Amino acid sequence: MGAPGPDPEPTTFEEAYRALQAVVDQLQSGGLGLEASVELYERGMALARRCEEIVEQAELRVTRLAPDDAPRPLDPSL
Amino acid sequence: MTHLEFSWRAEVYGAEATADPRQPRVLEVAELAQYLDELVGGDGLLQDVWLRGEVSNLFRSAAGHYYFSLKDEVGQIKSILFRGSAQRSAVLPTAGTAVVAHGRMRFYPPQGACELVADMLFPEGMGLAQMQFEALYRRLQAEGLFDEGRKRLLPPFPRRIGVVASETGAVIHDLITVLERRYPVAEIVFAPSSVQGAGAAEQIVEALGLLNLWRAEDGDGVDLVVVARGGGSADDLATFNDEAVVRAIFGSRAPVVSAVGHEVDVTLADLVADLRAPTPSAAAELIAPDLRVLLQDVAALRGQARRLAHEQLAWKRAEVGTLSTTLARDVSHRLAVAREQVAGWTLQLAALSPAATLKRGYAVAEVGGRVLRDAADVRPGDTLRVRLDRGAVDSVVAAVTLPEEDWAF
Repeated sequence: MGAPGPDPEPTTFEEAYRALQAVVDQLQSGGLGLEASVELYERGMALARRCEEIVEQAELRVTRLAPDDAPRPLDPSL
Repeated sequence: MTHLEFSWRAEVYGAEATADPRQPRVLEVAELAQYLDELVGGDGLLQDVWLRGEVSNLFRSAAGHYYFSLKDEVGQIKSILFRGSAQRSAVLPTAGTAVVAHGRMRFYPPQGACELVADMLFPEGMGLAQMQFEALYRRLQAEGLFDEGRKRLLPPFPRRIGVVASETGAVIHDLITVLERRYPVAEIVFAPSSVQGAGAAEQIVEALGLLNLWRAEDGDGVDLVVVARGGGSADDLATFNDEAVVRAIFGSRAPVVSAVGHEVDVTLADLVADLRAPTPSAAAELIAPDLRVLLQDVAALRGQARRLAHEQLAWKRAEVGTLSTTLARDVSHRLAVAREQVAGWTLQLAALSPAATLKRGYAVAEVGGRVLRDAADVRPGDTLRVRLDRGAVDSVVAAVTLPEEDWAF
Protein backbone atom coordinates (compact mmCIF):
# COMPACT_ATOMS: atom_id res chain seq x y z
CA MET A 1 0.00 0.00 0.00
CA GLY A 2 3.07 2.19 0.26
CA ALA A 3 3.53 2.97 -3.43
CA PRO A 4 2.19 6.39 -4.32
CA GLY A 5 0.42 6.87 -7.63
CA PRO A 6 -1.01 4.25 -9.99
CA ASP A 7 1.08 1.66 -11.83
CA PRO A 8 2.29 2.83 -15.24
CA GLU A 9 0.04 1.97 -18.15
CA PRO A 10 1.38 -1.20 -19.84
CA THR A 11 2.41 -0.67 -23.44
CA THR A 12 2.72 -4.27 -24.60
CA PHE A 13 0.23 -7.10 -24.57
CA GLU A 14 2.64 -9.17 -22.52
CA GLU A 15 2.89 -6.54 -19.77
CA ALA A 16 -0.88 -5.99 -19.61
CA TYR A 17 -1.58 -9.71 -19.67
CA ARG A 18 0.93 -10.56 -16.96
CA ALA A 19 -0.25 -7.63 -14.81
CA LEU A 20 -3.82 -8.89 -15.14
CA GLN A 21 -2.75 -12.35 -14.05
CA ALA A 22 -0.93 -10.83 -11.07
CA VAL A 23 -4.07 -8.90 -10.07
CA VAL A 24 -6.17 -12.05 -10.14
CA ASP A 25 -3.52 -13.92 -8.13
CA GLN A 26 -3.52 -11.16 -5.52
CA LEU A 27 -7.29 -11.18 -5.29
CA GLN A 28 -7.18 -14.94 -4.97
CA SER A 29 -4.69 -14.90 -2.12
CA GLY A 30 -7.21 -12.83 -0.13
CA GLY A 31 -6.44 -11.10 3.16
CA LEU A 32 -6.87 -7.71 1.55
CA GLY A 33 -8.55 -4.64 2.95
CA LEU A 34 -11.83 -3.58 1.40
CA GLU A 35 -10.29 -0.57 -0.28
CA ALA A 36 -7.38 -2.60 -1.65
CA SER A 37 -9.76 -5.20 -3.08
CA VAL A 38 -11.82 -2.56 -4.84
CA GLU A 39 -8.69 -0.88 -6.16
CA LEU A 40 -7.30 -4.21 -7.45
CA TYR A 41 -10.59 -5.05 -9.07
CA GLU A 42 -10.68 -1.73 -10.90
CA ARG A 43 -7.08 -2.18 -12.00
CA GLY A 44 -7.92 -5.67 -13.26
CA MET A 45 -10.78 -4.32 -15.35
CA ALA A 46 -8.56 -1.59 -16.78
CA LEU A 47 -5.85 -4.14 -17.65
CA ALA A 48 -8.34 -6.44 -19.37
CA ARG A 49 -9.54 -3.47 -21.43
CA ARG A 50 -5.90 -2.62 -22.22
CA CYS A 51 -5.22 -6.17 -23.47
CA GLU A 52 -8.17 -5.95 -25.83
CA GLU A 53 -7.23 -2.48 -27.01
CA ILE A 54 -3.66 -3.52 -27.77
CA VAL A 55 -4.83 -6.43 -29.91
CA GLU A 56 -7.52 -4.36 -31.64
CA GLN A 57 -5.08 -1.63 -32.56
CA ALA A 58 -2.17 -3.93 -33.45
CA GLU A 59 -0.88 -4.06 -36.97
CA LEU A 60 1.95 -6.38 -37.93
CA ARG A 61 5.00 -4.35 -38.93
CA VAL A 62 7.43 -5.66 -41.51
CA THR A 63 10.91 -4.18 -41.79
CA ARG A 64 13.07 -5.35 -44.63
CA LEU A 65 16.83 -5.44 -44.26
CA ALA A 66 19.53 -6.01 -46.89
CA PRO A 67 20.58 -3.59 -49.58
CA ASP A 68 19.86 -5.89 -52.49
CA ASP A 69 16.64 -4.87 -54.18
CA ALA A 70 17.09 -6.79 -57.39
CA PRO A 71 13.86 -8.65 -58.21
CA ARG A 72 14.17 -12.39 -58.44
CA PRO A 73 11.88 -14.79 -60.21
CA LEU A 74 9.05 -16.00 -58.04
CA ASP A 75 9.40 -19.64 -57.08
CA PRO A 76 6.58 -20.79 -54.86
CA SER A 77 8.49 -23.85 -53.74
CA LEU A 78 11.11 -21.74 -51.94
CA MET B 1 58.12 -19.23 -50.19
CA THR B 2 58.44 -22.26 -47.95
CA HIS B 3 60.44 -22.19 -44.77
CA LEU B 4 63.05 -24.43 -46.32
CA GLU B 5 63.60 -22.20 -49.32
CA PHE B 6 64.08 -19.28 -46.99
CA SER B 7 66.66 -21.11 -44.87
CA TRP B 8 68.60 -22.10 -48.02
CA ARG B 9 68.78 -18.53 -49.10
CA ALA B 10 69.70 -17.23 -45.71
CA GLU B 11 72.42 -19.83 -45.11
CA VAL B 12 73.98 -20.12 -48.55
CA TYR B 13 73.59 -16.68 -50.01
CA GLY B 14 72.95 -14.49 -47.01
CA ALA B 15 69.95 -12.25 -46.43
CA GLU B 16 70.56 -10.10 -49.51
CA ALA B 17 70.93 -13.07 -51.85
CA THR B 18 69.37 -12.75 -55.27
CA ALA B 19 70.78 -15.83 -57.05
CA ASP B 20 68.78 -19.00 -57.90
CA PRO B 21 67.62 -20.64 -54.66
CA ARG B 22 67.42 -24.04 -56.40
CA GLN B 23 71.16 -24.25 -56.67
CA PRO B 24 72.09 -27.85 -55.58
CA ARG B 25 73.36 -28.29 -52.07
CA VAL B 26 73.86 -31.18 -49.63
CA LEU B 27 70.86 -31.50 -47.35
CA GLU B 28 70.52 -32.86 -43.85
CA VAL B 29 67.82 -35.56 -43.36
CA ALA B 30 65.96 -33.21 -41.02
CA GLU B 31 65.93 -30.53 -43.72
CA LEU B 32 64.51 -32.85 -46.36
CA ALA B 33 62.03 -34.33 -43.91
CA GLN B 34 60.84 -30.86 -43.07
CA TYR B 35 60.61 -29.96 -46.74
CA LEU B 36 58.54 -33.06 -47.49
CA ASP B 37 56.31 -32.38 -44.52
CA GLU B 38 55.67 -28.84 -45.72
CA LEU B 39 55.13 -30.03 -49.28
CA VAL B 40 52.55 -32.59 -48.22
CA GLY B 41 50.99 -30.26 -45.68
CA GLY B 42 50.57 -27.50 -48.24
CA ASP B 43 48.78 -29.63 -50.81
CA GLY B 44 45.01 -29.15 -50.81
CA LEU B 45 44.23 -32.59 -52.24
CA LEU B 46 46.48 -34.39 -49.76
CA GLN B 47 44.94 -32.53 -46.83
CA ASP B 48 41.38 -33.55 -47.68
CA VAL B 49 41.63 -37.14 -48.88
CA TRP B 50 38.86 -39.64 -49.41
CA LEU B 51 40.59 -42.99 -49.85
CA ARG B 52 39.07 -46.38 -50.61
CA GLY B 53 40.97 -49.54 -49.70
CA GLU B 54 41.06 -52.84 -47.86
CA VAL B 55 42.21 -52.86 -44.26
CA SER B 56 45.37 -54.92 -43.68
CA ASN B 57 48.25 -55.09 -41.17
CA LEU B 58 45.85 -53.93 -38.50
CA PHE B 59 47.30 -53.21 -35.07
CA ARG B 60 45.61 -51.56 -32.14
CA SER B 61 47.94 -49.95 -29.61
CA ALA B 62 47.42 -50.08 -25.86
CA ALA B 63 46.54 -46.38 -26.00
CA GLY B 64 43.63 -47.16 -28.33
CA HIS B 65 45.09 -45.91 -31.62
CA TYR B 66 44.60 -48.00 -34.76
CA TYR B 67 47.52 -48.59 -37.12
CA PHE B 68 46.77 -50.26 -40.47
CA SER B 69 47.29 -50.10 -44.21
CA LEU B 70 44.74 -49.42 -46.90
CA LYS B 71 45.63 -51.49 -49.92
CA ASP B 72 44.42 -52.44 -53.35
CA GLU B 73 45.97 -54.69 -55.96
CA VAL B 74 48.60 -52.09 -56.79
CA GLY B 75 49.85 -50.84 -53.45
CA GLN B 76 49.16 -49.69 -49.94
CA ILE B 77 49.03 -46.54 -47.87
CA LYS B 78 49.95 -46.60 -44.19
CA SER B 79 47.12 -45.22 -42.09
CA ILE B 80 46.42 -44.22 -38.49
CA LEU B 81 43.12 -43.70 -36.75
CA PHE B 82 43.83 -42.03 -33.43
CA ARG B 83 41.74 -42.92 -30.43
CA GLY B 84 39.80 -39.64 -30.36
CA SER B 85 38.83 -39.99 -34.03
CA ALA B 86 38.06 -43.68 -33.54
CA GLN B 87 35.46 -42.73 -30.94
CA ARG B 88 33.38 -40.81 -33.46
CA SER B 89 34.22 -42.83 -36.56
CA ALA B 90 31.30 -44.36 -38.45
CA VAL B 91 33.06 -47.73 -38.46
CA LEU B 92 36.24 -49.11 -36.90
CA PRO B 93 38.87 -50.83 -39.02
CA THR B 94 38.63 -54.62 -39.23
CA ALA B 95 41.14 -56.67 -41.13
CA GLY B 96 40.05 -57.59 -44.64
CA THR B 97 37.10 -55.19 -44.92
CA ALA B 98 36.81 -52.49 -47.55
CA VAL B 99 36.41 -49.00 -46.17
CA VAL B 100 36.56 -45.40 -47.25
CA ALA B 101 38.73 -43.25 -45.02
CA HIS B 102 38.71 -39.51 -44.78
CA GLY B 103 41.77 -37.72 -43.49
CA ARG B 104 44.97 -35.90 -44.32
CA MET B 105 48.39 -37.10 -45.47
CA ARG B 106 51.52 -36.32 -43.52
CA PHE B 107 55.19 -37.17 -43.87
CA TYR B 108 56.33 -38.96 -40.73
CA PRO B 109 60.15 -38.63 -40.38
CA PRO B 110 60.77 -41.48 -37.86
CA GLN B 111 59.27 -43.96 -40.39
CA GLY B 112 60.48 -42.09 -43.44
CA ALA B 113 57.08 -42.52 -45.01
CA CYS B 114 53.91 -40.72 -45.95
CA GLU B 115 50.83 -41.88 -44.10
CA LEU B 116 47.15 -41.11 -43.89
CA VAL B 117 45.93 -39.67 -40.60
CA ALA B 118 42.29 -40.69 -40.83
CA ASP B 119 39.62 -38.82 -38.94
CA MET B 120 36.79 -41.12 -39.95
CA LEU B 121 36.16 -44.45 -41.62
CA PHE B 122 33.03 -45.33 -43.54
CA PRO B 123 31.82 -48.69 -44.80
CA GLU B 124 32.46 -49.21 -48.48
CA GLY B 125 29.49 -48.38 -50.69
CA MET B 126 28.31 -45.13 -49.16
CA GLY B 127 27.93 -42.15 -51.51
CA LEU B 128 30.46 -39.36 -51.15
CA ALA B 129 27.84 -36.69 -50.33
CA GLN B 130 26.42 -38.91 -47.61
CA MET B 131 29.90 -39.50 -46.18
CA GLN B 132 30.70 -35.80 -46.27
CA PHE B 133 27.48 -35.05 -44.45
CA GLU B 134 28.21 -37.77 -41.93
CA ALA B 135 31.78 -36.58 -41.37
CA LEU B 136 30.68 -32.99 -40.80
CA TYR B 137 27.85 -34.11 -38.55
CA ARG B 138 30.17 -36.19 -36.38
CA ARG B 139 32.77 -33.47 -36.19
CA LEU B 140 30.27 -30.78 -35.17
CA GLN B 141 28.59 -33.15 -32.76
CA ALA B 142 31.94 -33.87 -31.11
CA GLU B 143 32.39 -30.10 -30.78
CA GLY B 144 29.08 -29.87 -28.95
CA LEU B 145 27.14 -27.85 -31.52
CA PHE B 146 24.09 -30.07 -31.28
CA ASP B 147 24.03 -30.42 -27.48
CA GLU B 148 20.55 -30.27 -26.04
CA GLY B 149 21.95 -28.44 -23.06
CA ARG B 150 22.78 -25.32 -25.03
CA LYS B 151 19.37 -24.93 -26.62
CA ARG B 152 17.81 -21.67 -25.55
CA LEU B 153 14.18 -21.10 -24.69
CA LEU B 154 12.22 -18.82 -26.95
CA PRO B 155 10.66 -15.70 -25.41
CA PRO B 156 6.92 -16.37 -24.93
CA PHE B 157 5.94 -12.96 -26.32
CA PRO B 158 8.51 -11.98 -28.98
CA ARG B 159 8.38 -8.34 -30.02
CA ARG B 160 10.77 -8.48 -32.96
CA ILE B 161 11.01 -11.57 -35.09
CA GLY B 162 13.95 -11.86 -37.46
CA VAL B 163 13.37 -13.89 -40.60
CA VAL B 164 15.92 -15.28 -43.05
CA ALA B 165 14.10 -16.56 -46.10
CA SER B 166 13.89 -16.13 -49.83
CA GLU B 167 12.71 -12.74 -50.97
CA THR B 168 10.49 -14.24 -53.63
CA GLY B 169 9.26 -17.47 -52.15
CA ALA B 170 6.00 -18.32 -50.45
CA VAL B 171 7.71 -18.74 -47.07
CA ILE B 172 7.94 -15.07 -46.05
CA HIS B 173 4.45 -14.50 -47.37
CA ASP B 174 3.07 -17.36 -45.28
CA LEU B 175 4.89 -16.21 -42.16
CA ILE B 176 3.46 -12.71 -42.53
CA THR B 177 -0.05 -14.03 -43.15
CA VAL B 178 -0.04 -16.36 -40.16
CA LEU B 179 1.43 -13.77 -37.79
CA GLU B 180 -1.01 -11.10 -38.97
CA ARG B 181 -3.82 -13.40 -37.99
CA ARG B 182 -2.42 -14.78 -34.74
CA TYR B 183 0.02 -12.28 -33.35
CA PRO B 184 -0.18 -8.85 -34.99
CA VAL B 185 1.65 -7.11 -32.11
CA ALA B 186 5.07 -8.10 -33.46
CA GLU B 187 7.49 -6.57 -35.90
CA ILE B 188 8.99 -8.83 -38.54
CA VAL B 189 12.54 -7.95 -39.45
CA PHE B 190 13.14 -9.62 -42.76
CA ALA B 191 16.64 -10.26 -44.08
CA PRO B 192 16.16 -11.76 -47.55
CA SER B 193 18.66 -14.30 -48.79
CA SER B 194 18.83 -16.83 -51.54
CA VAL B 195 18.37 -20.26 -50.01
CA GLN B 196 19.82 -22.59 -52.60
CA GLY B 197 22.63 -22.80 -55.08
CA ALA B 198 25.98 -21.06 -55.26
CA GLY B 199 26.46 -18.27 -52.76
CA ALA B 200 23.35 -19.12 -50.77
CA ALA B 201 25.31 -20.25 -47.70
CA GLU B 202 27.27 -16.99 -47.64
CA GLN B 203 24.07 -14.98 -47.99
CA ILE B 204 22.39 -16.82 -45.14
CA VAL B 205 25.43 -16.25 -42.92
CA GLU B 206 25.35 -12.57 -43.84
CA ALA B 207 21.61 -12.28 -43.21
CA LEU B 208 22.02 -13.86 -39.78
CA GLY B 209 24.78 -11.39 -39.05
CA LEU B 210 22.62 -8.44 -40.15
CA LEU B 211 19.72 -9.57 -37.97
CA ASN B 212 21.94 -10.00 -34.94
CA LEU B 213 23.35 -6.50 -35.40
CA TRP B 214 19.99 -4.84 -36.10
CA ARG B 215 18.59 -2.56 -33.39
CA ALA B 216 15.16 -0.96 -33.06
CA GLU B 217 14.77 2.70 -32.01
CA ASP B 218 14.62 1.58 -28.36
CA GLY B 219 18.01 -0.15 -28.72
CA ASP B 220 16.64 -3.69 -28.48
CA GLY B 221 17.42 -6.28 -31.10
CA VAL B 222 15.40 -9.17 -32.49
CA ASP B 223 14.08 -11.61 -29.89
CA LEU B 224 14.51 -14.60 -32.16
CA VAL B 225 15.34 -15.50 -35.74
CA VAL B 226 13.49 -17.87 -38.04
CA VAL B 227 15.59 -19.45 -40.79
CA ALA B 228 13.11 -20.87 -43.25
CA ARG B 229 12.90 -22.52 -46.61
CA GLY B 230 10.21 -24.48 -48.37
CA GLY B 231 10.60 -28.09 -49.41
CA GLY B 232 13.04 -29.19 -52.09
CA SER B 233 15.34 -31.97 -53.22
CA ALA B 234 18.28 -33.06 -51.09
CA ASP B 235 20.52 -30.95 -53.33
CA ASP B 236 18.29 -27.93 -52.77
CA LEU B 237 18.59 -28.34 -49.01
CA ALA B 238 22.39 -28.81 -49.10
CA THR B 239 22.85 -25.15 -48.17
CA PHE B 240 21.41 -25.96 -44.76
CA ASN B 241 24.07 -28.62 -44.26
CA ASP B 242 26.82 -26.12 -44.99
CA GLU B 243 29.29 -25.81 -42.14
CA ALA B 244 29.34 -22.00 -42.30
CA VAL B 245 25.54 -21.85 -42.04
CA VAL B 246 25.54 -24.29 -39.13
CA ARG B 247 28.19 -22.29 -37.31
CA ALA B 248 26.38 -19.00 -37.96
CA ILE B 249 23.21 -20.41 -36.42
CA PHE B 250 25.24 -21.73 -33.50
CA GLY B 251 26.81 -18.30 -33.01
CA SER B 252 23.58 -16.31 -33.27
CA ARG B 253 22.94 -14.05 -30.27
CA ALA B 254 19.19 -14.42 -30.71
CA PRO B 255 17.71 -17.91 -30.46
CA VAL B 256 17.14 -19.51 -33.86
CA VAL B 257 14.15 -21.47 -35.08
CA SER B 258 14.81 -23.56 -38.17
CA ALA B 259 12.06 -24.42 -40.60
CA VAL B 260 13.63 -26.09 -43.58
CA GLY B 261 11.86 -28.23 -46.10
CA HIS B 262 9.30 -30.78 -45.11
CA GLU B 263 9.09 -32.60 -41.82
CA VAL B 264 11.08 -35.58 -43.14
CA ASP B 265 14.04 -33.44 -44.18
CA VAL B 266 16.43 -32.99 -41.27
CA THR B 267 19.38 -30.74 -41.98
CA LEU B 268 22.32 -29.83 -39.77
CA ALA B 269 20.76 -26.37 -39.50
CA ASP B 270 17.75 -28.06 -37.89
CA LEU B 271 19.99 -29.91 -35.46
CA VAL B 272 21.92 -26.84 -34.34
CA ALA B 273 18.89 -24.55 -34.08
CA ASP B 274 17.37 -23.86 -30.67
CA LEU B 275 14.06 -25.12 -31.97
CA ARG B 276 13.17 -27.02 -35.11
CA ALA B 277 9.84 -26.36 -36.75
CA PRO B 278 8.75 -29.14 -39.10
CA THR B 279 7.61 -26.64 -41.76
CA PRO B 280 7.71 -22.86 -42.23
CA SER B 281 4.00 -22.45 -41.41
CA ALA B 282 4.48 -24.52 -38.26
CA ALA B 283 7.28 -22.11 -37.32
CA ALA B 284 4.86 -19.18 -37.33
CA GLU B 285 2.70 -21.05 -34.86
CA LEU B 286 5.61 -22.12 -32.64
CA ILE B 287 7.23 -18.72 -32.24
CA ALA B 288 4.25 -16.74 -31.00
CA PRO B 289 1.06 -17.38 -29.05
CA ASP B 290 -2.33 -16.96 -30.68
CA LEU B 291 -3.65 -13.68 -29.28
CA ARG B 292 -7.21 -14.62 -30.17
CA VAL B 293 -6.89 -17.50 -27.72
CA LEU B 294 -5.22 -15.27 -25.16
CA LEU B 295 -8.08 -12.78 -25.41
CA GLN B 296 -10.38 -15.58 -24.28
CA ASP B 297 -8.04 -15.97 -21.31
CA VAL B 298 -8.31 -12.26 -20.70
CA ALA B 299 -12.10 -12.55 -20.60
CA ALA B 300 -11.79 -15.45 -18.17
CA LEU B 301 -9.38 -13.48 -15.97
CA ARG B 302 -11.74 -10.51 -16.03
CA GLY B 303 -14.60 -12.75 -14.85
CA GLN B 304 -12.39 -14.25 -12.17
CA ALA B 305 -11.36 -10.81 -10.91
CA ARG B 306 -15.00 -9.77 -10.76
CA ARG B 307 -16.05 -12.90 -8.89
CA LEU B 308 -13.15 -12.61 -6.42
CA ALA B 309 -13.84 -8.94 -5.75
CA HIS B 310 -17.53 -9.69 -5.14
CA GLU B 311 -16.58 -12.52 -2.83
CA GLN B 312 -14.35 -10.17 -0.89
CA LEU B 313 -17.16 -7.65 -0.61
CA ALA B 314 -19.55 -10.32 0.62
CA TRP B 315 -16.98 -11.39 3.19
CA LYS B 316 -16.57 -7.83 4.39
CA ARG B 317 -20.32 -7.42 4.68
CA ALA B 318 -20.59 -10.63 6.69
CA GLU B 319 -17.72 -9.48 8.86
CA VAL B 320 -19.51 -6.19 9.64
CA GLY B 321 -22.65 -8.13 10.62
CA THR B 322 -20.69 -10.40 12.93
CA LEU B 323 -18.93 -7.42 14.45
CA SER B 324 -22.12 -5.57 15.34
CA THR B 325 -23.61 -8.68 16.92
CA THR B 326 -20.46 -9.16 18.94
CA LEU B 327 -20.47 -5.53 19.91
CA ALA B 328 -24.09 -5.63 21.15
CA ARG B 329 -23.40 -8.78 23.15
CA ASP B 330 -20.33 -7.20 24.59
CA VAL B 331 -22.16 -4.03 25.71
CA SER B 332 -25.00 -5.86 27.48
CA HIS B 333 -22.47 -8.08 29.23
CA ARG B 334 -20.61 -5.04 30.48
CA LEU B 335 -23.88 -3.50 31.71
CA ALA B 336 -24.76 -6.62 33.65
CA VAL B 337 -21.35 -6.67 35.29
CA ALA B 338 -21.69 -3.02 36.22
CA ARG B 339 -25.14 -3.57 37.64
CA GLU B 340 -23.85 -6.39 39.84
CA GLN B 341 -21.00 -4.25 41.01
CA VAL B 342 -23.31 -1.40 41.93
CA ALA B 343 -25.50 -3.78 43.95
CA GLY B 344 -22.46 -5.07 45.81
CA TRP B 345 -21.29 -1.59 46.59
CA THR B 346 -24.76 -0.65 47.86
CA LEU B 347 -24.68 -3.58 50.30
CA GLN B 348 -21.22 -2.65 51.48
CA LEU B 349 -22.25 0.95 51.91
CA ALA B 350 -25.30 -0.14 53.90
CA ALA B 351 -23.07 -2.22 56.16
CA LEU B 352 -20.83 0.75 56.79
CA SER B 353 -23.69 3.12 57.68
CA PRO B 354 -23.83 3.90 61.50
CA ALA B 355 -27.62 3.48 61.53
CA ALA B 356 -27.17 -0.28 61.00
CA THR B 357 -24.68 -0.42 63.88
CA LEU B 358 -27.03 1.49 66.20
CA LYS B 359 -29.74 -0.99 65.20
CA ARG B 360 -27.60 -3.74 66.57
CA GLY B 361 -27.59 -1.97 70.08
CA TYR B 362 -24.45 0.07 69.87
CA ALA B 363 -24.53 3.79 70.84
CA VAL B 364 -22.52 6.79 69.71
CA ALA B 365 -21.33 9.35 72.28
CA GLU B 366 -20.83 12.91 71.10
CA VAL B 367 -19.24 15.88 72.78
CA GLY B 368 -19.98 19.27 71.26
CA GLY B 369 -21.28 17.57 68.09
CA ARG B 370 -18.09 15.42 67.62
CA VAL B 371 -17.94 11.66 68.04
CA LEU B 372 -16.19 10.73 71.27
CA ARG B 373 -13.51 8.09 70.80
CA ASP B 374 -11.19 8.61 73.77
CA ALA B 375 -12.17 8.80 77.47
CA ALA B 376 -9.29 11.20 77.93
CA ASP B 377 -11.20 13.80 75.92
CA VAL B 378 -13.81 14.31 78.67
CA ARG B 379 -13.74 15.22 82.30
CA PRO B 380 -16.27 14.44 84.97
CA GLY B 381 -19.13 16.96 84.80
CA ASP B 382 -18.93 17.30 80.96
CA THR B 383 -22.19 16.81 79.07
CA LEU B 384 -22.42 13.95 76.62
CA ARG B 385 -25.03 13.23 74.01
CA VAL B 386 -25.49 9.48 73.53
CA ARG B 387 -27.17 8.63 70.23
CA LEU B 388 -29.19 5.44 70.17
CA ASP B 389 -31.01 3.64 67.39
CA ARG B 390 -34.07 5.48 68.43
CA GLY B 391 -33.49 8.96 69.90
CA ALA B 392 -30.66 10.29 72.10
CA VAL B 393 -29.85 10.67 75.77
CA ASP B 394 -28.07 13.78 77.15
CA SER B 395 -25.99 12.73 80.17
CA VAL B 396 -23.33 14.03 82.53
CA VAL B 397 -19.95 12.32 82.96
CA ALA B 398 -19.73 10.93 86.48
CA ALA B 399 -16.22 9.49 86.27
CA VAL B 400 -13.55 8.80 83.63
CA THR B 401 -11.75 5.51 83.39
CA LEU B 402 -8.71 5.59 81.08
CA PRO B 403 -7.40 2.36 79.49
CA GLU B 404 -4.84 0.62 81.64
CA GLU B 405 -1.79 1.24 79.48
CA ASP B 406 -2.31 4.93 79.80
CA TRP B 407 -1.50 4.61 83.48
CA ALA B 408 1.97 3.57 82.55
CA PHE B 409 2.78 7.02 81.32
